[in-house]
Amino acid sequence: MKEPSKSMTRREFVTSSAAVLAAGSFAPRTLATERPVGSPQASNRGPFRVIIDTDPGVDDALALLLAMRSPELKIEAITAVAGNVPLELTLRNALRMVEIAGRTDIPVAAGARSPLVRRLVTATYAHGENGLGGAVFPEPKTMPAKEPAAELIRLIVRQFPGEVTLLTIGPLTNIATALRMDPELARMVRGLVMMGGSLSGGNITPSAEFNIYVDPDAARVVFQSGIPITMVGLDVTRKTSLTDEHLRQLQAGQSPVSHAAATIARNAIEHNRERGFIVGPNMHDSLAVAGFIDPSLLKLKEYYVDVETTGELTAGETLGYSPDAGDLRRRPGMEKDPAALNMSIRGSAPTLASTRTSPVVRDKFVPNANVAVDVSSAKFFDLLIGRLSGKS
Amino acid sequence: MKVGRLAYFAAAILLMSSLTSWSQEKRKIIIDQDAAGPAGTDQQSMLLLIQSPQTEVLGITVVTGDQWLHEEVAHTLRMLELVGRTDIPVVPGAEYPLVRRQQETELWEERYGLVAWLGAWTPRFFHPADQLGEMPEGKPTTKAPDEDAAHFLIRMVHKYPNQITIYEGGPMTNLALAITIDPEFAGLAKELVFMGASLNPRTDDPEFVNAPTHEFNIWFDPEAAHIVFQSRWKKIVCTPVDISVKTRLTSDLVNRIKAADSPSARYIGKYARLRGSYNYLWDELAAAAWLDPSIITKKETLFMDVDLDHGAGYGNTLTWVERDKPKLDVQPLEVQDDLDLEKFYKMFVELLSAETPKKN
Repeated sequence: MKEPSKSMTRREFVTSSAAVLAAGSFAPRTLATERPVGSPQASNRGPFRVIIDTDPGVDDALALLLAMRSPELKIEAITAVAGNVPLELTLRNALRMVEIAGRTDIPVAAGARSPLVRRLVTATYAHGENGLGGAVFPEPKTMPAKEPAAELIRLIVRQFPGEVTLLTIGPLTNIATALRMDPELARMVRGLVMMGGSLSGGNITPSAEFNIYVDPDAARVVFQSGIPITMVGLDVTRKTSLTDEHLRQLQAGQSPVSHAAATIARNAIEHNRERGFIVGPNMHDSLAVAGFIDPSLLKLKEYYVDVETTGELTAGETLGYSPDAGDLRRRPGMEKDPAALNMSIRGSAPTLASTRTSPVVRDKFVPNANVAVDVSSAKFFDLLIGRLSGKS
Repeated sequence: MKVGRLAYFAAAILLMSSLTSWSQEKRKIIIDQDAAGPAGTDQQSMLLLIQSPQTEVLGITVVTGDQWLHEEVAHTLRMLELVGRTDIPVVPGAEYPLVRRQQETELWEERYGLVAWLGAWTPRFFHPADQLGEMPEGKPTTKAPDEDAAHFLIRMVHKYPNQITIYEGGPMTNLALAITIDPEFAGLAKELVFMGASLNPRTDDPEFVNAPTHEFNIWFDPEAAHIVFQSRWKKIVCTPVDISVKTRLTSDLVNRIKAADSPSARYIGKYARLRGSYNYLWDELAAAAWLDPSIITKKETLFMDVDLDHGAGYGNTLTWVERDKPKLDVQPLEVQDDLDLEKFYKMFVELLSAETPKKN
């Protein structure tokens, strides 16, 4: 058998390689990256190549229509995944949306039928039996792409290395599958913008946001992949709610897209009202798409995000580590203190059987995601409603 | 005249019988392997399948396990160069398990004790994933195709539906990816044959005495094995540790192979490893039993799954019989219990001594 070829220990290798990987994707690194909402920021000029991975889904459908009405995006493919409703429906709904938008040139691929390891949990209680909140559209005539989703993602990313951004607005099963089957893919992706997660409590359980809850194992693969991630979670999507006024503006539109958007929006608002909710439906997925189109809509902050995959009650929780997160550590000027960067990141306390905290995620703070912490809701709805109703 | 006619008749019969054997289809197989090398159980098992005139090896898909993906691909390409079968594609697959992480495994060891074999993560042999390590047999000049293992597997079972045996000698990451991408994958294969799992092996080997249900291939990617065991295969054949530990690679076997002068015999003679007292023919037995099922003298039907809780038993084999199986979806497996050892060794020596059959 062979002798060790290097004197580096396993632990040294793991931490150093992870640090290099993360630093490479975010350099140059500073802590002071908070940007006030609405500030003029080099906006995305584009068009940017994107692949949209989705589980439509009421707000997915609106997000897809928004994306297809946005000249900043060059949509290379739409890939469907099981989530809000089973794959048979998410695939058909995605095909319906490209037909409504007259964009049948965009390939739509079928992805995973179930999460990596867990059994599928759907959200028909929120999205109706057909996934579109009861809004009825004709059966799609367009056929899905012949390649499965993970393969299409791989082919497109390899065709345009460094150019493709993944916009994910469903569970991350397809993305994790593609990353695992092609180890080089993560380095070729330009970035990933997800609707998913929350640093301020969940929606399907007190700790978990639905997209991460459905496939926490896949989400963890994505967060640890080294891809530069923008996480648009409940922290900001909760601050967006669709109103009757928005609906009225959509209904004033004259295009097939505005008609479809109005139908979906009306059903969603009515459904919300029937269930006695005080505020209108949150536009989770559209906000992630809009935040990519116009970065000035969101205020971002760097975190190291990890996913709880084993918790008996908390699986699917996203945890955001930052030098100034947590009362014990917060003090003025913290974000400028280089020592804060050396904060070690720890998990739960040691048990009698172990000497270390577990799991020790990183020996040092190295962010892996930009997390949206605030949103300019009015500006977002101007963009969303403007584009869906055909006014802008 | 009479003699001449007889000879003519005999020649016709000979011709006919040879035509029949020509037209007989070879058995199609894809090898998925954590193909550490040179030689060793991973390469030797592949060589057995390649050396058999009754098989058509459609390809070798590679996965990190005993070593890292990249060095395994290199060892396999080189082995094929040395035996003159570079027509067989070597397709790289997963570099990491689906969910298991090296760091989590280190913490597990701190809490629950050392794992006997960590494959590519074994501290003694550790080097980064993109380095090749030592290659005493020389570096290959041939290259892997630009396709990934999961899609190669999917493409092949669609091309030859119900005809391909999937042979698995390593962690099941590539198979799980193929199933996740294409739910029809398992059903389109003819069968799955794998070395893996451990039930209750009778042995004094310290690797298994206190951890009888821990087996590397299943343990290294428990979630992948779970996905594979949940799928609807037509047939699954399992060669567990329990039967592996009845076999040994001895210097006698190596010497008998060395006596021949074929490319395969030279490769084995030069690189076969004989250190320590537990040189089992793990993957070779799974391959040989597929080539000649009469090597197996006792087998049983069991239902199998993997412990996915991230506690002390994470990655351990779980088995049941019909009577006590859980209400969840579990599939029956044909599990091998005992073998005709001499028959196996004879086949092992004969196949590895022979000249390598040419491409069809």
